[in-house]
Amino acid sequence: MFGYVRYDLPNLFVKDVMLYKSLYCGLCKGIGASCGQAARMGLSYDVTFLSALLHNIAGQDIVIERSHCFEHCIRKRPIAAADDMTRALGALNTILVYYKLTDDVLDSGKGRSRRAWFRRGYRRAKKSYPELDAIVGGYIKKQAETERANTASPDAAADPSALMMQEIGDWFLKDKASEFTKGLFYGLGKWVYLIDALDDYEKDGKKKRYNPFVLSYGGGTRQELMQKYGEEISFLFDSLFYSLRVNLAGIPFRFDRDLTDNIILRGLPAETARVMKGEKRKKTKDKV
Amino acid sequence: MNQENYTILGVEETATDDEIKAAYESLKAKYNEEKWQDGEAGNQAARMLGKLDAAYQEIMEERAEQAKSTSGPGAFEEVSNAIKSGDYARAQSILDNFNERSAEWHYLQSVVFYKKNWINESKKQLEIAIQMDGENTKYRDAYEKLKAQSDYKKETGGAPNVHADPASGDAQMGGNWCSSCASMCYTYLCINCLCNLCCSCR
Repeated sequence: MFGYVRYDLPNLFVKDVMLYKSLYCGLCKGIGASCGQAARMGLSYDVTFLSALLHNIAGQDIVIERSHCFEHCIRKRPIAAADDMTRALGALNTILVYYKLTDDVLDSGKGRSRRAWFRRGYRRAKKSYPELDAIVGGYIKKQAETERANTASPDAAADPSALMMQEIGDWFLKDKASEFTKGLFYGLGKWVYLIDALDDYEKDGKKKRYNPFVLSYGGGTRQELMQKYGEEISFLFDSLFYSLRVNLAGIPFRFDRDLTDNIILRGLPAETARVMKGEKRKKTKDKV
Repeated sequence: MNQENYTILGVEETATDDEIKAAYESLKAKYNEEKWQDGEAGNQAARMLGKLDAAYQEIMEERAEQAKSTSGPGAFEEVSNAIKSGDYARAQSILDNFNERSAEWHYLQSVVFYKKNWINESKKQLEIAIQMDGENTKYRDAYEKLKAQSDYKKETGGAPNVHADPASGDAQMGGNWCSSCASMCYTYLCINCLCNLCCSCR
């Protein structure tokens, strides 16, 4: 679920590297502010991306200041100030992490202690943002029902996760939400679900766990899958990228859109291509 | 009248078409045998035979009529209206109630899927619709349009299409505004050096 939303480094502007870094640090501080120190361990790039996208669409200015933090205690770093939206995103991050870990516990019975680490932060998030918890909790339940029903169609299987993302977007954007933002967030949620499923294709096939691709195309190796059904799977993702592009074009952006465009239009297709080939993620020294 | 028809056949109103047909056939065989009997019994059987045929015809016609009103052209219109008003859940529930799934049914189902952003499922339904009715240009056009969503790969050689906003142009170009100034300076420097070579004028 986490870790698939990536930038495409060769096409990333230097100014956006700075922006992304400071948003990342800002989100970390936002988690600290809304959920307490322990929950900062759950910080993810996925929610950082959401932060960039939501700030931009909502027209909320990002104020960057130089300050210290726990990890960077000697040199000052540019950090985006933790505004209301960032704090809410921090809570969202903790809620998502907590539900994901709960899912892991239910799946394999492991990871109870990891979940316990986030329990306090989750309670705080739930108390201050009950609507967010209701959205995520409700759709996680629906997702589990869909999976228990052995839904074979990838479109249908990804629907609850996609709708969850759509509602999260609506909640943050309020009156700025439009048909286009709904479509964009739906597509993003769907992509995250599908890429996770495709990445786990071989593993789930072996362990006989639920996976829409295994149910639709039968288990086996990734190579066989792509050889036989590559065209169909490519179409699934290409049409998804098409809808992301159409929806992006319909959204007025207040500031500069380069960072989010880089991630949505280049990063996601690049990551999809990587997962389709079954390659490991390349570790770059010059990481952001 | 309706109730009477069912009593003649000796079945409940809720009976299925197959049950009615079975009852009709067994009764017909019975009366056909009885009508050769002497006297009133034979006449009675012959009369019942006529009634039986009429009742069976009427029930079947009535049922065909009913089926049409729940899954005929009228229902298709209802689905289209639900789609137009954006009520996809209602459109889906009407579609689920159809007994017979014609090409048009698969087409409408594909539209509902498309509106829900289930593009892959939408394409599958269109493929079935085209298989059932290859003549219909409406299905073919919709199918071609869907297929075109992944066509950019042919144009860009597999690279992702990164133009979200068609009007924005290429944002990475630019920065050329002073290139001619720089080249003028450079040319001037070179000429100056060459001049200095021969006559050492300062």
